[in-house]
Amino acid sequence: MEILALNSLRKHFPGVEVLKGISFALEQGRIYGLVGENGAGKSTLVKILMGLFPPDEGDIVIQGQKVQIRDPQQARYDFGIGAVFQEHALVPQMSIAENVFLDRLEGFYRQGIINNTLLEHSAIEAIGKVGLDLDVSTHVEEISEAEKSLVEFSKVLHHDPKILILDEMTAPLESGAVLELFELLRTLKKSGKTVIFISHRLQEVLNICDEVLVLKDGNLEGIVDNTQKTDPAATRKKIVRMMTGTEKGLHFPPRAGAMTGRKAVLSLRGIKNGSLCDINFDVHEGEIVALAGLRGQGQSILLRAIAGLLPHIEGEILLGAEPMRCRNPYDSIKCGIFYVSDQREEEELWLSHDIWLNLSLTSIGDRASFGIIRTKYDHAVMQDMVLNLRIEPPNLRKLVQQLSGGNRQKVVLGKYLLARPKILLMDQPTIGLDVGAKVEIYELLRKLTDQGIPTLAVLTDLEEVVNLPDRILVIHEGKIVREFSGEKVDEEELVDSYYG
Amino acid sequence: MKRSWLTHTMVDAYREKLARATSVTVGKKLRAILMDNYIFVILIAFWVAASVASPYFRTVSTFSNILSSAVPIALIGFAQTFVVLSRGFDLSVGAVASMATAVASVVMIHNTFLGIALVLIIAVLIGTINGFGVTKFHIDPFIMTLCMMFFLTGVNLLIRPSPGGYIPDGYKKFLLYQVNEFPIVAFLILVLTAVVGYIVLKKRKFGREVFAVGGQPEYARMSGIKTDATLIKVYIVSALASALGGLYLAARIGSGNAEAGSSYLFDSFTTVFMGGTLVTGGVGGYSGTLGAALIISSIGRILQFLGIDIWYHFIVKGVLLASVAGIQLYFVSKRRRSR
Repeated sequence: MEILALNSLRKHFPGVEVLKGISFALEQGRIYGLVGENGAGKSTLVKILMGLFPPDEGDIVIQGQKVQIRDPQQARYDFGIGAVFQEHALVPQMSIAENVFLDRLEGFYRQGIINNTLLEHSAIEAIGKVGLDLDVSTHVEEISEAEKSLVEFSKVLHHDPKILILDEMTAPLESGAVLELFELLRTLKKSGKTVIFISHRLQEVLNICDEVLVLKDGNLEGIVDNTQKTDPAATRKKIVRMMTGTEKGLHFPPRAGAMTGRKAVLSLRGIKNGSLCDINFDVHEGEIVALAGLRGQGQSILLRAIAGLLPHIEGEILLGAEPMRCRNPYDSIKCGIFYVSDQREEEELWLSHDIWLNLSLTSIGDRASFGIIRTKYDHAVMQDMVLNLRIEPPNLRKLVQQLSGGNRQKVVLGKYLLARPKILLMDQPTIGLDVGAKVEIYELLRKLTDQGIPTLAVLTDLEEVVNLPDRILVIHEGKIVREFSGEKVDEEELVDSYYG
Repeated sequence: MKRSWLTHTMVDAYREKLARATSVTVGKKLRAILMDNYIFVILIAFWVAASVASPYFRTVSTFSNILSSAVPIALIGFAQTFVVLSRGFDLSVGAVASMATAVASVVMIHNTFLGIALVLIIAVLIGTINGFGVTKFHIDPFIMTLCMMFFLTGVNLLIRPSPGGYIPDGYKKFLLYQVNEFPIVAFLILVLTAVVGYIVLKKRKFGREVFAVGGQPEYARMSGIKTDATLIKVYIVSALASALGGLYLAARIGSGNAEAGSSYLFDSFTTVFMGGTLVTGGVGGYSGTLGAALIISSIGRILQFLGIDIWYHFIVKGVLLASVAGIQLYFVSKRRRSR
């Protein structure tokens, strides 16, 4: 039975056409994958289906009825559509329990006031269904991204939707949790739910989905049948070709080669704090070093500790041969240690300002004389940087919020390159980027490394961990438990070492 | 906080754990209550210190004065608490209170209840306009309510160019009614605001929505909250509470005055922020505002009894707000770090 159909759906935002006439029909009781590079229109589609904004043109047909979805309330209760949003639509200052039932709080009234015991018990049950065991009075801002995504999932499930949309829900989950989520999805499918599964990880999509819808530049490029799951490699190739227009997919630049006799740029000696214990290693000239492991084992904390973003660190940090201690980002920038956050939009960029300002501000003092910025010189330098990094469009006046993820990351890198780094500390450098942009960032990092700026990066994607770095350090519970040299890494051995 | 994929029996086990946890930590809970209501600790410390310093302070008439002058501050603070929690500002609260005194002083000659009704109807109208401006026309709350403040001040001066007019004696007597010098009505009003503030903000859907909208407006909308409707209601509540504050003020000053409420604008922000509601929205509550309102109305009295000139009043207010806000941020960041 056909449950949801779209007829030539169009949507444009000022300056860009996001959806250029999408049509498809979904059957009940199947799991559909929705894939496409960033900016292909996936999240826009989700938000239209949830009634967050209306389409410009085209119809949405639910169970044979043409409908207009005005707001998320209506999407949920009138049309049975539930979505786990990519950004986790949870209010950070409120408790898990309140978030799970946020738009149904009147259901917990007893004598006219919300009964907390009832609310919390229902919440425990709701999050128990997705396998979470948390104190439900905890505020959402205190739980991890993985827990947030599951809390939101439980919130959506409790509405009992007919159509379930998961937008990049698995991104923060570790592999075990993903498999258990898939079990749950299969049960839901058996009970007649339709699932739209959006992910950048094709492996997951191929594992769970019956059919895969491929979006490219706002068009539906095609629908790939995956019911049999017989030849995943071929299906994968087909999907990648449709997504990118080429067959190549991810490829990685060649490694630096022999590592003997290179000088250490950054040395850590016995670094310790609440979640790290006794970290010792060197990062040498010309190498990319990866910090790998399960999520939240202290990788990001280590980077932030080196960059002086965390107080109370024991141990010694040597830059070259000099001991140094950064107490704040200002110190670390002065020393030439640059930390690039994985929260690109929140912590690295001024989204509502142009490329020029974003690139220039960190190192603006270099291009000022007597406290006055030399605007023409500044402009020339920035123009150079934009062309060197191949930022698209190469227009300094373009606002950063109008750029794609890959170009945003290039702006971040450019900003730090202008301040003459000695080493880059990158937390998930390609998070949220599409295949093409990832490849560009890999090449850029490799080029910088060859020019003498090594990178210490937290990597989570297995393909990246195996192919990009010269060395891999596996962290488990704040300790470095294994070291692999980049060439010839056995994937199974690597993943096995993640568990300590 | 370990997560595992669990079965229902484990949910039961968790419930037991929860029950045990709540029974053991009574002492902890008490400390949490004290921490959340530190403003009352400061208030009592103030009172004790003043009573020790000056025997004249320990009289019923002093407290009676503190309570009744706290009523308009608390009511207008009530208004501002809702707006600040929703991540907004309402600069028109003082002008709405002035409007209430001006309209009352003109209409109450004919009929007291007509006066009250008219004031409240106008307040609802003002709140609706503010709310619509903020939500449907996307005017920044600061600008929208600033315009409303100017507009109302002008209208107030048209209605009542110079202070005066008539406030019925019965009306005054009722609101200022005292038993053995104790202003029982003022006291009851304060208690009522505390009860209503607590229930509406913490125990009713509307209040939780205010927190959600103030905490993260976009996510609140994605979660299915009609954020525009919530905000419009917030501005209506704000105007209504301010108008009630104005109605009480009219009884206290015994006349209408187009400027009577203007000083309460700053007091409303002082009480809200001193009371622990964060300027970024989504965190706080009314009980802190009430405590701060009592502190502010005490400061003037205390200084008076200590024989200190009245202009020190502002200095004390400024220093006190800065220190309370500083202490509060220190605790918030400490708590965050300890997690």
